[in-house]
Amino acid sequence: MIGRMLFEQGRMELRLTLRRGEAVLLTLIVPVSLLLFFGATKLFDIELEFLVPGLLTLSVISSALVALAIATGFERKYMVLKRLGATPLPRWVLFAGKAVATLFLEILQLLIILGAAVLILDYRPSVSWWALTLAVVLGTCAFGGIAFLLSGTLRAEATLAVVNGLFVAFFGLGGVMFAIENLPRPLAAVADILPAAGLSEAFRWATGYSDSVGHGVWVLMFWAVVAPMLAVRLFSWEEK
Amino acid sequence: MPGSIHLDNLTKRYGALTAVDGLSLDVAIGETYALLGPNGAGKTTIVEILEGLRTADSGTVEVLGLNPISDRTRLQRRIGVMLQEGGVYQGAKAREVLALFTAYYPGARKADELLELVGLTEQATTLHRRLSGGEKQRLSLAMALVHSPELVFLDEPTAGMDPVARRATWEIIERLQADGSTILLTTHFMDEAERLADRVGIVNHGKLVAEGSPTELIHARGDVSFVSYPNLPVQELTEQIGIDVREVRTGFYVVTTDAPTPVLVAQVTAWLAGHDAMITELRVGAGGLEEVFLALTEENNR
Repeated sequence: MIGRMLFEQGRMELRLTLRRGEAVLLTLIVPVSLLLFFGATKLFDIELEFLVPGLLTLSVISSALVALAIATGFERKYMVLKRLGATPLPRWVLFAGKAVATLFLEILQLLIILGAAVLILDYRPSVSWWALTLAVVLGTCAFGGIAFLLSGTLRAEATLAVVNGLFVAFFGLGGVMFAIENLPRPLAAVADILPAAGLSEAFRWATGYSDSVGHGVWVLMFWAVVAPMLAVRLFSWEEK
Repeated sequence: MPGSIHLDNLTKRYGALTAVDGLSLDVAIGETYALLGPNGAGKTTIVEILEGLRTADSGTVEVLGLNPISDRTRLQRRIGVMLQEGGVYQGAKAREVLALFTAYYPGARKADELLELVGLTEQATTLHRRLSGGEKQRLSLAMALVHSPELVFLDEPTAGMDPVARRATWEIIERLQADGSTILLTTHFMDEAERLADRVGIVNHGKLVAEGSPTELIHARGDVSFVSYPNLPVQELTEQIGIDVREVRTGFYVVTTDAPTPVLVAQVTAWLAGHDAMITELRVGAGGLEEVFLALTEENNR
């Protein structure tokens, strides 16, 4: 029974996300377009080996933070979460379904990015699959936690605005296309305590661009634990 | 006899506002009970406490012998819930929503069967946000009936429906009644309550101000009402007979009393004769639930 609920819940979540044009644009089209544009033009002299893991970070942010928070925020606004509270569906299965759908979308993103890079741009990484898996899981916990924290406390419209702002901010402060060390000092200090740069570090390590990970990964782990915990405490099922 | 719903001295506050104020209520198995009341009277709060969506501040809450909060999962398998609005994924198709819900319950009905039951077969692949208001309501009703629950909560089930859809919905509810389901519904429509409910509870300011079958409620009031020329100086009549007489609508007068007598009626008509005022209608007792409702909720609001 739980297995079937989880499967159906995950399938519904994924189907709804893929049906939302703006979610498809942001999660599937934007990252690969950036890859092809900067990979082909070599603009700003960004190395392909640096760019690809950065775009994996952007992909995780687009699905685990932006798409997830917006979907959850509007489900809360339209009282879907409340209605599901009046069914035998356990709350944890509701969230597990969202996690399953998000992971599935991320795998799709990963395959598209890596596939395009390898096939079109002649990218030859030395991938550590377990490290890649770990990075995706940590990133999903951290950004998914932030997504639930926002969508469970703010109005849906505010969540929409905040996560779109964060997407742009992390594009600059997440070590996606530029190393955060090259940022002006105050910005670098901010980037240092946010989870995105650590995720980029982890992806660069998992794809063999760097041999080791820095303290950014500890920052990421901190967010991966604290954000979901805060979300569990503060999430409310209905807008006030 | 074991009841379906038992509420004793239920209280719920939202900050300074007391939404439900020491309310007690029992619904028997197989009964249809309608909660009537003006907006903000506390109807939805009562229903949501019974559904386990809100917690009570104090009082006893038993639904099918279970506690809605601590026995949540067991209770949810046996009750069906129709929220007043919303509750459905905006981007999902009607059949998809029902198919998802069938995964929540052992022994659920088929999605197509439910679509047919509520007359949405043609809208099976329509996105929820593209359904009309009445179609959304019917989908919401189907979601409450996925598992053929023994107790169904319907919060304003026909709000926003056209007359044809309302009648069709009433017929679905009557089929549930024939199958022996217990139903608790809230409504603004007196005709709906009169047609569907075995018993009606009128709620105002979080309190139950009257309860009984529609017929009992209508006959319990003994108001004498008459229709005549507008703007008669009824203050004079009030002083003469010592009973409050008011023009509640233009040309429609009510003599507020619980115990009408032949003498009272004679006094009223004699006074009217003295003013050369012709009566086009004279009635003892309430004409319908609406009059009872307005009288009770107005008295409380004054």
